Amino acid sequence: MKRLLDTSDNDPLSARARVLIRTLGPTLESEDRLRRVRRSLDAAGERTAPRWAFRLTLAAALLGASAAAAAAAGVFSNLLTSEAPAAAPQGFPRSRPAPPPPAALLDVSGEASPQAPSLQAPPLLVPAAPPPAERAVPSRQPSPTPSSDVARVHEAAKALRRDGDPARALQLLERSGAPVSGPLAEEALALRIEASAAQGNGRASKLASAYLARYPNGRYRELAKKALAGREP
Amino acid sequence: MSSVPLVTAALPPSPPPAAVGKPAIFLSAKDFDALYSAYFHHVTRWARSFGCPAADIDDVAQETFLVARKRLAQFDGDNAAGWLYRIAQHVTRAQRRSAWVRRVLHLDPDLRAADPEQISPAEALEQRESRRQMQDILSRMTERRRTAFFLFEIEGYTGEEIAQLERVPLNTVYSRLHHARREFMTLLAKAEGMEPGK
Repeated sequence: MKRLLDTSDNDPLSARARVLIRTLGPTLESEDRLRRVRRSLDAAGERTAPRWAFRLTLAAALLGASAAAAAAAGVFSNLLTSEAPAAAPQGFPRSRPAPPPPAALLDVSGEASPQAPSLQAPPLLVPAAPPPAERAVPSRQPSPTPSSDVARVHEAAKALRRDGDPARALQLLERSGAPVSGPLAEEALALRIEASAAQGNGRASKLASAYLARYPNGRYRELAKKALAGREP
Repeated sequence: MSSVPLVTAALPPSPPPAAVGKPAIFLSAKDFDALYSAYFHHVTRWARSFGCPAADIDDVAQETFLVARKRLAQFDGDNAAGWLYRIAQHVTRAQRRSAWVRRVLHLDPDLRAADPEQISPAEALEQRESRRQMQDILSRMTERRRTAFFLFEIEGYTGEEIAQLERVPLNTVYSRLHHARREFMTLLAKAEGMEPGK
């Protein structure tokens, strides 16, 4: 199949189509953009690093605690035994072989591969992988989508503004009691204020106070102030 | 009017799938770097094909790779391009919804950045008008057709590459392209006050 740009039809419509396609043009490769996004990506990675550090510390603490418990159990059993084993050195409790590491700390790269984990890069500690049969078939969607909260707010905005259904909007925004997080958290709270005010259920002022406390310079502060004053936003 | 040559958009080859159990293969930071370098420019093209405004492409690319980095362990090693393409598609949709919500709330006046260009005012006006017309026509097409059309006609991907990205048979891609092109010409004819096919 030939591209429209590669055709040579002389009719005015085709010529105009070629002009339009050329006007838009392909995305230009920008090394500057590549580096800029990479910097932001690394900065975002650094912000999430403490979570990994926390998990690592927690895992180490759990391992340490289990080892200490095992050692204590060994000492305790030795105290209960009248005859100490001859081979056991004095002062050292005989311990059992070390338990295997918890499944949650298995290094996936070393799990099914004959290759040892690379020494060049430290192995990532990742949750234990599902069985190969499950992983072999990739799901059609890489979801749970990162946009589930965004989708909720989107639907709620449609329900409120387009369908005039504040009850539905509130139901979407307050589903399962989990507040909306992510890029539209502020919008979600503003929509809740608006929907509650439209319903006249008396929660609008409470939500407005919460909004002003959380976003004192927020984009929807006027709406919140109106709701707080008991006026229709 | 300045014309921009088509960029060859050959996809980098997918990494070879692992033989047993298909363990995740992009696990180290080094491998992520390779993935980033190989696919970054493609992600920006895809985002544009999905209708992402130019001002938001950086954000979409960043979010796509953030999600990819989080999900490396779940990646089975097959069709890295298709995997990233799906993520970029979801991220672009989320971005579009966010923009829509803000626009609907009438409180985000600056959704798009200006696009400075080094051309004469007359050319700039003509280009702006052509772009507006193009965006208008594309926005009337269904998402599948628009994406196929954009990737093929504007970004220069081959039918085979689009099939790999969309994970659909090649004939499906050609069918979408055929219908997309017909729809495009019909809409263009209508906008120009001409008869389609003439």
